[in-house]
Amino acid sequence: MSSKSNTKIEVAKTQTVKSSIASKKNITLISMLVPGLIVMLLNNYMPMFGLVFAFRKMDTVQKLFGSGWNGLKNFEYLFSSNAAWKITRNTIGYNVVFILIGLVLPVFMAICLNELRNKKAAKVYQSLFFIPYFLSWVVISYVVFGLLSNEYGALNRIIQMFGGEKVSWYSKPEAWPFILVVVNTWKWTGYDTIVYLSAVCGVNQELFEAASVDGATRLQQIFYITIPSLVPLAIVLVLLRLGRMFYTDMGLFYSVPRNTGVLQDVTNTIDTYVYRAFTATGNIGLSAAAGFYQAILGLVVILTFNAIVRKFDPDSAII
Amino acid sequence: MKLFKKGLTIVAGTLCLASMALTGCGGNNTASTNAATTDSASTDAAAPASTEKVDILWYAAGTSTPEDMPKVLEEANKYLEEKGIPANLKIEMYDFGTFPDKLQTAISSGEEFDICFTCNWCNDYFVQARKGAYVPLNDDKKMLETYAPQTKALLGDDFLAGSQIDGINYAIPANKEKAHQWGFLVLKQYADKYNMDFSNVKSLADMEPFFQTIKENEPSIYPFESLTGESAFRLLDFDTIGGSNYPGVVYNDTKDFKVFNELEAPEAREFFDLVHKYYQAGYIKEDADTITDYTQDQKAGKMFCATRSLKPGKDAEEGLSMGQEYVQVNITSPVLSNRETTGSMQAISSTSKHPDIALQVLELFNTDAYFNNLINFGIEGQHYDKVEGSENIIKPAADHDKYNLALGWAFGNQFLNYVTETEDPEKWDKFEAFNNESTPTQTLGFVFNPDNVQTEIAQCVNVWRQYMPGLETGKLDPNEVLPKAIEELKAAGSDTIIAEKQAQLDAWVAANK
Repeated sequence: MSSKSNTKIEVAKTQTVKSSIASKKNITLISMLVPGLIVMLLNNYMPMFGLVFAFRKMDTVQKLFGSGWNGLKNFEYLFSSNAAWKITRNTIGYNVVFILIGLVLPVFMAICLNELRNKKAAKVYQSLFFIPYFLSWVVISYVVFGLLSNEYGALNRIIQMFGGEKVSWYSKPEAWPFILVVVNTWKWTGYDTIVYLSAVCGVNQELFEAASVDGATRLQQIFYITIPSLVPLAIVLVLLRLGRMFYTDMGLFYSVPRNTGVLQDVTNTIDTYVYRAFTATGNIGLSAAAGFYQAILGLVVILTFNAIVRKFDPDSAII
Repeated sequence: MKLFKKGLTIVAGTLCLASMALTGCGGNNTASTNAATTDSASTDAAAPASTEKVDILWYAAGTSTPEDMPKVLEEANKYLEEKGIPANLKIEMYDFGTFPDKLQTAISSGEEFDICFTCNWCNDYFVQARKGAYVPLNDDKKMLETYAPQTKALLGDDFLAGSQIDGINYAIPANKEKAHQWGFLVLKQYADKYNMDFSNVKSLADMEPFFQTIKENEPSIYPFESLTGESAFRLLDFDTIGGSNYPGVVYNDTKDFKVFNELEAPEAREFFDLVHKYYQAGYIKEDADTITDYTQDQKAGKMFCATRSLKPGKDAEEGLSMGQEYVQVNITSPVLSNRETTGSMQAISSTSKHPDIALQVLELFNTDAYFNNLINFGIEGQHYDKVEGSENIIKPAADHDKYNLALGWAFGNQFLNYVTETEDPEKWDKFEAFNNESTPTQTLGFVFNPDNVQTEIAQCVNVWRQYMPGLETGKLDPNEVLPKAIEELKAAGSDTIIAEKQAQLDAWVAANK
């Protein structure tokens, strides 16, 4: 090829690139990205340098590079005790339940809200569901305490009103898997419902019209139009959550059970275990090791499931 | 696909919103604003002639910050200016339950502050000092001698040597009682009402008839307070060499320096059985193991009897801060140990930009009666009044509730403190006598270095916190749980910790005895 035509092509190329970047619309869009990017750099990428602590002897922030390497010794405490199995079981078990409930219940609620004729009422319900999302875990822990406490707990009052014996909830480990699931669902369902609801609203109305002309019932419309159109969003949300499979919410597992020893069998997760160890030793190496371990496992899980999704429905996979 | 994109935009939008909200919170961080102000101040203070004030942030423990703290600080800062100390003092306070976590995060994240409360049982002095969190005070720079010479003289060898780690002082002990003694505080109104005589009480078991009386006659109050980490387990008075929340102790009067797991000791078993019996008899609050803040029940007068670390006049001192009248029942004999010499101290943070000025503030606090009492009791005429004809006996004034610490021992030189009218005017003389009659533990001066057993400690702490609250508050049946706890501690490496403690102690004994 002659060099002349070559340059021609390149000029054309740069022109198209330039024009697309320079177009006003894109600049606005890109500038909207900037705050998010900065936050992401500060919050998600800067701390990654801290991963080095996972392999170092106990350091303080003051003498960052003072002490030497520690090999894999910082990871040992996570695996070498009886607790390892329990905390891993709790972490994964609760997360699986949370993901399943977080998939089924919000979709169900979103469809119900969408089917409501009275749109004003729908807005009110939607806001009511959303409120718990804004409460911090500490506040929620007191709400739960208000319900379950021995002396003044509303639940015990009700039980006694009907002639029952009051129950010491904070010393009943068997009750806590249910309590934690209920509390977590209560807090998150409103938020998830709104995400799905916005997708339901976005479904092309012509589809429904066409379906009803063809004689489809409401139920059939839900099963053959609404739900299939929610699938891609559901897959994205589930995949994102799978990536956090090995993390748990400190607020839910530490504050809500009020750090009660008797309940530890069912409330101790990787995060609370690490926190307790940290407050006693103050060793950030141990905490960094746990964070590293959670991140790596999360990555493995998300890649695995993404690969599976890609196999069946390439469009829905995120990578 | 179009739909999917729509969904993704929504998700992205929400995430963007959420992240913006997050940055909003992050910007409010007090640490960063603090750092900024001290930063600018430090450049000014670099010139020695400049009288520019610098911020001195003091993290103090014992209660949450009282309402009138700003007023008191205003007075304090005026006085500091008079004394020529270029400090703008700020005091932030947290209760003992919150304080360790607050400081653990502040220190690990390198937050900038100047002075903090530290000791062996709250915000662990040994752990933090070894991490390099505190400024060494008696190394080559001789900080203590230069900036706080009178404090150094005041404390004397017992306190200074008793709070050293490998010969270095990382904190200034409060000049207070030198010994500890365990026992009970009992609500006086009920002791009087039922004519109780505690003179023959030698142990927890001897209290049983009194608990029974209360249980039968006073349904609205609980006979016995039992708390996680603050329970009657302490009456056993093991010498915990290094760190609570994991096992390994010796006896106070040990001859052979044998380290053992306190949960396996026969007296521990006896104690757990007894306290479980009390729990079943209803002497102890049902949810005792979840309570972290006992002050509410105490202030409401709902606890008949509580285990406390005693000293002369403890009944009046605690009575003052809780608004109740107590009777003091001494159980164990006074023992001088690291527990006291490192029982209440103030350290200078290594993140402090002005350790010299921070030390000057502490020096003034430990030597100047006006400044000391200003922080301890507030402003005269507002928070307290002097009893007529007396210079150092005080009584509450109108705004007493807005500044009522009664935490003299948690700040510094207690011998300067005013005495309140409900207290014994001879309080400080009795302190001296108490100090003199105490016997030192065999391990006084030994400090355990936990570096080699971090893994084991991290694991044991989790087991300890799972079982110990239930056991020491009497909630769990020791028959069933104690063997399980011991076994799980072993699996978590308690034997390794004990062996390490033993090895270090043996080396120390060989070098020092």
